[in-house]
Amino acid sequence: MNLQPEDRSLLSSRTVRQIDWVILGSALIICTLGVLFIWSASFQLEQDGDWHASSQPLRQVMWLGVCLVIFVVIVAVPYTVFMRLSYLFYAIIMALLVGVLFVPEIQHVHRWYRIGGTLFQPGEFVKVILVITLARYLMYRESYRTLIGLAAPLVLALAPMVLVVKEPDIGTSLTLLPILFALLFTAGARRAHLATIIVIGIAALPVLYYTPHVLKDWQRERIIAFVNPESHTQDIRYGSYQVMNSVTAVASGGIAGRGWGQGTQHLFDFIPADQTDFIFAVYAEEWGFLGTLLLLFLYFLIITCGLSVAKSTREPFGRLVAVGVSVMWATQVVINIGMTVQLMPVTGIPLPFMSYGGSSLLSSFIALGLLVSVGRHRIPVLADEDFK
Amino acid sequence: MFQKRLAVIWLVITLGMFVILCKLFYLQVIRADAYRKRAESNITYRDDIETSRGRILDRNGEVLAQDETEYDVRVYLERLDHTTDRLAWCREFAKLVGMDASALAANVEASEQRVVELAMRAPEARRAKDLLYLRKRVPQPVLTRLDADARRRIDLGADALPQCLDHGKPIPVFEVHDSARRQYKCGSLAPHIVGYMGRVNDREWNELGYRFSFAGEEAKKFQPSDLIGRTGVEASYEADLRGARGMIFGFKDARLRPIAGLPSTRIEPVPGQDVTLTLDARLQRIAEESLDRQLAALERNRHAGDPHLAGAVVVFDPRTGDVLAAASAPRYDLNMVYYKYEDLANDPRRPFFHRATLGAYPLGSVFKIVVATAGLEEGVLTGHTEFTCSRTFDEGGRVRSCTAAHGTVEMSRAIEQSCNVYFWNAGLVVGGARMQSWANAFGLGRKTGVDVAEAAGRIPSPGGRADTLNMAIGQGETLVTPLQAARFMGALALDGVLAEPRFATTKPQRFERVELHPDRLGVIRWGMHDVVEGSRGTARANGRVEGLDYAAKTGTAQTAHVDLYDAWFAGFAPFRDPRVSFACVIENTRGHGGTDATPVVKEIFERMMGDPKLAGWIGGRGGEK
Repeated sequence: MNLQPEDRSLLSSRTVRQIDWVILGSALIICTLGVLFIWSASFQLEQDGDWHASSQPLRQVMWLGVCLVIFVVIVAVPYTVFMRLSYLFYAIIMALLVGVLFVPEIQHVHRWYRIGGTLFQPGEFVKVILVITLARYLMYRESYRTLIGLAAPLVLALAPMVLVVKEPDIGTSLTLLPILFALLFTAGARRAHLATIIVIGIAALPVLYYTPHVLKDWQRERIIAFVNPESHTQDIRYGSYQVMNSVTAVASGGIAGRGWGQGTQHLFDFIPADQTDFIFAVYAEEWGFLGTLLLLFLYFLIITCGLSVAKSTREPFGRLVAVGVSVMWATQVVINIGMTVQLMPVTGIPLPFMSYGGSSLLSSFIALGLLVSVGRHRIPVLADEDFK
Repeated sequence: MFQKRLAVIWLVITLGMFVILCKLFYLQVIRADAYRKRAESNITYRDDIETSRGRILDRNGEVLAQDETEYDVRVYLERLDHTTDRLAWCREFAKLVGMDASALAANVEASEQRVVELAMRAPEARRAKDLLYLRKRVPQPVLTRLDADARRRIDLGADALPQCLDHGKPIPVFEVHDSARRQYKCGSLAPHIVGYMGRVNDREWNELGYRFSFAGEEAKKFQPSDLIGRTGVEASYEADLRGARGMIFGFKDARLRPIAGLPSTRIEPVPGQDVTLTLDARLQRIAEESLDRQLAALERNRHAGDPHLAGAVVVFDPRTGDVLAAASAPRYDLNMVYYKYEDLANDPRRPFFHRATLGAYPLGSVFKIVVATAGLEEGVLTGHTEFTCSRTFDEGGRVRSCTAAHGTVEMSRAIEQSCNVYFWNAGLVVGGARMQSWANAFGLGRKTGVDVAEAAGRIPSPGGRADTLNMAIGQGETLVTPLQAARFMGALALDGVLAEPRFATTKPQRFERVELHPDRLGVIRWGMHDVVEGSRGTARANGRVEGLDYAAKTGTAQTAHVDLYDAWFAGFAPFRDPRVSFACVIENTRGHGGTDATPVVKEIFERMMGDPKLAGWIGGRGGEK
């Protein structure tokens, strides 16, 4: 028993405070880059022969303002509030996910609620809510040390996953899996149990792939396009076409890039979703390898700092939230950039802090708020040093 | 345990980001140049602007061949798949142009096949990629040779056709290209000289590199379905006639739409140059008609099973080298070559064979002029040298016979009556070597340098006594083309000036000179004059033209077929102040030069005299061209 956890921490409270600013600073730099390149990507050649930017960069700045306010509020209140409210949030998001399946389709999918002039995507908030829900469930329990005990957290994660797949939005759904496994893993689940679940999951993939109505045709096409880009001849919208063009854009940036606003591929419409999912292709073409190096470093910094917040926190809910949030971002970064450079199949996952979109930005800032809050509020605990 | 597991998670994430960094390094640093090229080609397009081929005109500007615009429809096969359904599109489109829908569907299917065949030519690894590219990016021809009316209907009705949507916006499924079709106004007039065209072949495409450039010009390079001149002037003046395509470079977006606001560069097409022929279309028509009429008349004497009759006649201006007419029979219609190529190529009468320049025949008695000239110029014979003909000539064992007993004759008379005995004796005096070298000097048995395909013919090297005797009367292996004969006659008319023949006025004039003494040449000329005008001239009966004094020589050469001959008639006109020379040959006839070849020339001259525009060529009234 130790009533003074700070003393035993490897990091002093001062360092922890500095970490807050590093995380926030990095996130804000990425947001700024995001606005800059959403602006670049929004240029359109109009009939008069001039390039015109759309209102999207301004809307993103507006969203950024909203997010900062919410961030400050979250940091101000003790994060234990969220621990208490986590099951409520979970219930609300489940209801929203069920509800979204019954609103009219937007761009052929049930992914958004239309509220006023903006679109609200519940799928973006599932990730962060799952993090706090699982953290709450796992914080003082030991049942996950048995295989049967893993059933409850699995169900907690699989329920929203199934709903999100129904939208359909496989990408978002898949980001939930690393969160689940990372939390189970750090909470102390037995390696053999986790391995068993993973093996069963992988074995189930072909079954899911071939079961009718689970995947849409274009989703299969994307997978085929990823596995064998050359074979792909049918559809220029979802096939290897998209990936080939984003790879072309990224690679043609070279070391130094073409310069802001000079990217040729997105200006000529070769990159679909160039402000949202494929914003990295725009960025990489215009700022080159040096730019992508900077961006990857900033993400690496945020994620590493997030994990060190977890490391220096002894309060179990907080440390699990810090792990979950870091893994959530890491997953999004790896999948998003991975698909842009043809290391992953194409899925509709935004790049945190960078992609255009209010829901994505808000969810990232809520997560950021939680992380910083965990780092700032040292909550004394009566617990063993470690999870079992 | 928590700390350790945290470290594992950090490691996994770092590893994932490191892999991405490696891929970024590979793409942006190592492969940047290759992808930059690809990025440029993504956003730029290059379109050809069609050009036209030069016309072919006769010497008076009459159009013999010219391009006419017609329209092709080409479709993007891959986009056709994205319309509601391919057959529906074919049905609607066929309705527009007023054709059968199933025929159009069959054409589309054929172009699918063609695309697959093209892709299969690539190395195996690239086939799928090539096929994809061809179907997606290269519109394939499905309809050809549409007229302006059909094109207008397509333009008006295009919006009602089933569309291909990309991101909700329609993108073009087909394109209409204008292309030029060769129209031969001349039809069957001088088809061998004008020539026809055919698709560029693999050898020209690959080995000769015509796909990169032609005649030193990249803009004249060939494309896969381009036509290239195959025969006649169409072939030999390809470099002049062929136009240079223009080009337009610009920017396009992902839906292949040109971007109007950005500058595009345009290189104007350069049309091909016209080629003006030395032929006079009126004279050519007369020559062909006269030849055809005579062949039709001779056809009545032809025995069943004889080789086919054929012939050629050349009218030549020795002062310039211009070929004024070069008729060859049988002929074909240039506009029908495309449709009837196989039939024409397999026709036993060989209509594609241009006898005026490619046909090589034994010269028969016309060669006696070479023997006489050689004898005079070498000083072994004079105009007064006499030999006695009692119809037979004892070669030593074998007896050769003449056409008649001509008695004791001098050279002019021997030429007039074409006495074999005289020239057997003369040939022995002159000798094979001198005959050969003089024949050569007159351009016989060697290429003339004319600007269409020609045969060299052949003058045999000196042999034994029997060979010398055969050679002296133009039998055996002496092979001469009608063009060579006409040119030879021209040299006699112009005191030894041997002009290089030409069919296009752009070809520079060139001359060779044969040293001849005017007095000695006079003996020959008068002999040839008397062939037509003399009381015993071999051409008097069938060749004499009222009001025209001209000189000529008949010839009758044995062929491989007993009783069949190649009949010759060659000379120049008018006798004083000659302006044209000519040669006519009828192959596989039962008659002689004096009976079968002379009527052709006679009819030509008579009709020329009756035509004010042509009479000048033979000294009659009327403007000479």
